[in-house]
Amino acid sequence: MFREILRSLTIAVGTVAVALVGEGVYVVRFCSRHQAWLQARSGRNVVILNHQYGVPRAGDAVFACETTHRIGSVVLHVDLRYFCAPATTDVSTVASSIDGTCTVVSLDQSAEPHNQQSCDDHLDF
Amino acid sequence: MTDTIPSASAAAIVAAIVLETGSSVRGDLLFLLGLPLTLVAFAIAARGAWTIGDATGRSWLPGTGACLSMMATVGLVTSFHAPAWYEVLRCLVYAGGIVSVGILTSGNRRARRHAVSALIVSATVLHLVTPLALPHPLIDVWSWTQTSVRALLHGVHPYRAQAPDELQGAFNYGYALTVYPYMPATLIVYAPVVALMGDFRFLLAACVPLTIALVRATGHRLRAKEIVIDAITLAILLHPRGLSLTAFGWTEPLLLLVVAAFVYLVVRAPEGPGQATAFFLLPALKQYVIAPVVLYLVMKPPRPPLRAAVVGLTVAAATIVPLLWWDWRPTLAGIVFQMIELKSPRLDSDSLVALSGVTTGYYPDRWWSVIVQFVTGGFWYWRLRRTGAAGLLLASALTLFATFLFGWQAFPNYYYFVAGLLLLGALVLAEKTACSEKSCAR
Repeated sequence: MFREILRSLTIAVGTVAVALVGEGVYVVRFCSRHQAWLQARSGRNVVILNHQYGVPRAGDAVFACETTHRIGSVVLHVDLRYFCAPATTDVSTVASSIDGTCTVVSLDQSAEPHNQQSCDDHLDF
Repeated sequence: MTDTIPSASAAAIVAAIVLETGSSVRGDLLFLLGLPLTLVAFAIAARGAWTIGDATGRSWLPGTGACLSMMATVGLVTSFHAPAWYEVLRCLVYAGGIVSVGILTSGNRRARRHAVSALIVSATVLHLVTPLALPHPLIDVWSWTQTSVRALLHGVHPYRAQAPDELQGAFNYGYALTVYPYMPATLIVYAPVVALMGDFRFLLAACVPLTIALVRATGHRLRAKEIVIDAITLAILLHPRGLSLTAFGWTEPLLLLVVAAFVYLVVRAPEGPGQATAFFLLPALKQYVIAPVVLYLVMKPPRPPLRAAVVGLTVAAATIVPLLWWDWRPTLAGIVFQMIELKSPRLDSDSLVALSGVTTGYYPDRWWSVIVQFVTGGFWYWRLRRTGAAGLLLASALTLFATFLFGWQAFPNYYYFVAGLLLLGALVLAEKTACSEKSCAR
């Protein structure tokens, strides 16, 4: 019986290993935030696998932020992330909270839903 | 060979476990691991259904055990950010599940009995405390269901009630939810639970042990091997997202309970009205269960006697007609909401449509999934029409499976029900008696 339990635990460890490898492949090759950075820089269409449905809440502004994507101390690439936060928030506050550089993208709350910039995350300060 | 079961049964069990695992992988790994696993599950299920009636036994336990270990591990690492005490309990249950899988494959019957019993009890307790751990989940399903059921309890038409936006406009999925988008039967079933306990999710939690009880009772009546019943029990309890269905209020645990009751009644009282009532309640509870009902009416057996079918249809209709009579406009608007209000597919779905949309920007019209449902249903009717309840369950599973793969929405809760159908089909196929053509067609 203990051999079979050990086998089950070994499979569990293997499953975690496969998941970590998968995550590593995604981060290095398909990172949606890096793809967004490439698209913004080059203007060409790229495949962004992880679709976001976040949108600005009433009174929110959208902040475009560049951050460095690292695994430990190894620098992988630059990510572009969009954050929605109250429009009264100072851009430097957003930047320091996510350890990146940010600019305000949109303060226009009258935009039609399909024209709204989506948010990767919502922040409150 | 004492450790063999019909190959179709073995395939259906493995397909269900792989589907539960694949459909639970979300986020970054959805299209790298989740969807591929889901497609593999479909292929295994289709292959298994194709071989129904093949009496060749297949050694199944090592492979099934490996899949169960994998699935339990995915459950262990799948958090939904509940309070720390709940997350600790959740991890303990799934870790216990990994150990239980090892015991399952060890051949030690006494230890297996204790392990499965302990898992049933601990998983049940965990489901029952889930509404307490997450009293106010930030999801529209929960808020709309609570609001609409409370409206019904206060004499207000539930489809006229408006629920607050728990997310405060932070997400836009391409539609504005303006009416309760689920079937009236759900409100009727949830109403007593909300009245007594304040939260309909306690019923969803109770569905888990009740389903297990029905599955085990059915298995014993079929004289299926105890180890097969135990494997199916673990496959249900260790679903990686099973707790989130309770936590967020999705209806599928109720659907699985109803279909488990159907299978029990097919075995216990095949000529009675109970099995027809149970099966006709499925579309009364969830809009996507259409083709399976057509399959049920045309496949013989277990096609019910006319009187039983009339009773079943009457009961199902009784859950819809009163609300239509009260005010048909909002009731109809709610029932058809998800069919007509979505403007584009959900690109975070576990589906080929989402993959196409994300990679190419193109996707088929929403009605393609309806066409797929009936074409797939027709194909599996042709192949499985004389294979009884097992054929009905597998045909229903594959039909809905294909529907979701080509659908505009495909989430873990949808596939939870498909996996349940596969497991129940596997249970019926594992019946002890020799599989002559007559005895297979229950």
